[in-house]
Amino acid sequence: MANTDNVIRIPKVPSGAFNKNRPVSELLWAQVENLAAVAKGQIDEERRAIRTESQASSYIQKMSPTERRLLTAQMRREQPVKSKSVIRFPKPPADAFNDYRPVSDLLWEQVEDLAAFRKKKIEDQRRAIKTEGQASAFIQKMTAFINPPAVTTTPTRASKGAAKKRPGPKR
Amino acid sequence: MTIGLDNLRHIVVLMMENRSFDHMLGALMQQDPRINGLTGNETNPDSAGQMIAVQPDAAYQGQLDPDPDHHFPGVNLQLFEGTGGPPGPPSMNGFIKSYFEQRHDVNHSHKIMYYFTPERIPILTGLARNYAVFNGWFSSIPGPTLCNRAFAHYGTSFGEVGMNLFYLNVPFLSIYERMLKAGRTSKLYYFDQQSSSLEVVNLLKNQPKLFGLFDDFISDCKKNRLPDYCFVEPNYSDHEDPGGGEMLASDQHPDHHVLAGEAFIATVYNAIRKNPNLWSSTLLLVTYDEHGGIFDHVPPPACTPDGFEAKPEATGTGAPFKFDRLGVRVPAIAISPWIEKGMVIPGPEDPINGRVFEHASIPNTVMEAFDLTDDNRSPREKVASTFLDLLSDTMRPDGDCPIFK
Repeated sequence: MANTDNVIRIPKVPSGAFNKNRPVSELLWAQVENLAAVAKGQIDEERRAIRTESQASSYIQKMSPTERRLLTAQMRREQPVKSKSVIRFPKPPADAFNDYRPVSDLLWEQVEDLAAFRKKKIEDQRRAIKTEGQASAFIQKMTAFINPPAVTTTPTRASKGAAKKRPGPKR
Repeated sequence: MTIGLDNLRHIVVLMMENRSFDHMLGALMQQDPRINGLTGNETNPDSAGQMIAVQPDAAYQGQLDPDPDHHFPGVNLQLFEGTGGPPGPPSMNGFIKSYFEQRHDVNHSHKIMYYFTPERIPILTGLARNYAVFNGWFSSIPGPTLCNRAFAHYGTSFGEVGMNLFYLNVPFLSIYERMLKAGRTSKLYYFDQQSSSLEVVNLLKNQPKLFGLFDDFISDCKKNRLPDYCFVEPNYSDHEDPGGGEMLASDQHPDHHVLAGEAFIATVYNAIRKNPNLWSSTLLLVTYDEHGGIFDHVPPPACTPDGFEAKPEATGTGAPFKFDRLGVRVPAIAISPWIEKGMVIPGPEDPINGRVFEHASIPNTVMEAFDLTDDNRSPREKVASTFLDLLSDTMRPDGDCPIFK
């Protein structure tokens, strides 16, 4: 610990200083546009790198809308129906699975559609931004998309320094 | 080599947003005449022909709205009003006229001349008075944020004078990549995901291991895990925290609250100051990317051309720019217990001992500190002044170095 009598008091920020509805500054716009451009570029780069069915399915999962991913997860969780009327069906052989199968035209089409959808969604969201709060939400999404590992680092608000938790802005 | 330099293990750079030297530190000249600040007699003409003097009336928030112009053509007007323009010397007479263009309100345009008195920003001025303040640290380009910040990362902006930068397929490595290549450690700490990294999105994409959050910086300081070189980014926006609560922008970009930035600077400083291992082995630089359109009285000097050229359509002035002169002066303070208290590094006002620094000084200093040898760098960076010589043979006693509470 520092041992000093030389203490300078940190001035307090008034609670009314916070305004997430402030119009977006040019600086934030530039950040939004740069992140959007890199994210869209990444969508195309990853698409171009696809060679196998497995890579295509990973890409499809990543580019799928959140709602669709949730639905898929929900379907997986559903319990099988119990019935006495059971029809047995033959199982496919173990070697039927081929992670390295080249991408079919059908899958390519799905990949292309999802890439276009994702890019359009980014553009739509970017165009809808009016306030600093909206810009920061968009920036968060793009950052998480570009740099997924950072998502795992959960900020602890106790050490945010200048950014203190306070009641809503007084207007 | 001094003992201070021999002990150096870490360099930390905190770059704030858009404030000029005179606006933040100019009033310190009343306390120490060696500081090249304001006498109170500095003036600029307004659009009605009146000469308007600087005033100690800067507000923390709500005053510089709209955001003062700091794009290339706007800064050109601020620097060269009433002259034939470059390559002649800047007059520093166009700040009020430039701000007037944005709102056409004569009285409002005078606010670009306002400055803070030291007691209103005790963190920045406290650091300036306790460590080393640079009289001659200039932004690298008479232009906006992103191209200026590029000089801190790459030693150049690769010919860009605007905000639309991706740095893809560029000829020089960033200082972070150079550090990694040399087996050193390096990191950019951005505030959180909503604030993100401002200017090196290509690195965010290709080198995710180079990045951490501000919480990681605090934790790394506590746990003695700070990399050899790191760059800290403040919070660039007011936004809600996912866990609840309001995250206040701390970059000091108008119209963000200046005191939030003061608290952020204090947090970064305290994180280093309170760990004795780190404190004795770290050099912290606090600076600003550019002046944000706000008045400063020192004409930016010429500099070594960068080897790039921005075309007239990019500069917006009708003339090309060869990166052969610097942007407006910004605050810069070097902090270490190995730095003598109250040091003032003379700038262009001292024709004999004066030294000129700019953001390319950052990567060049890091290269020098960690003995990196990479000749594939911009001409500007190679000749940029370094500041390791500020570290002395004597470590100041603990009680002599302030802490912020």
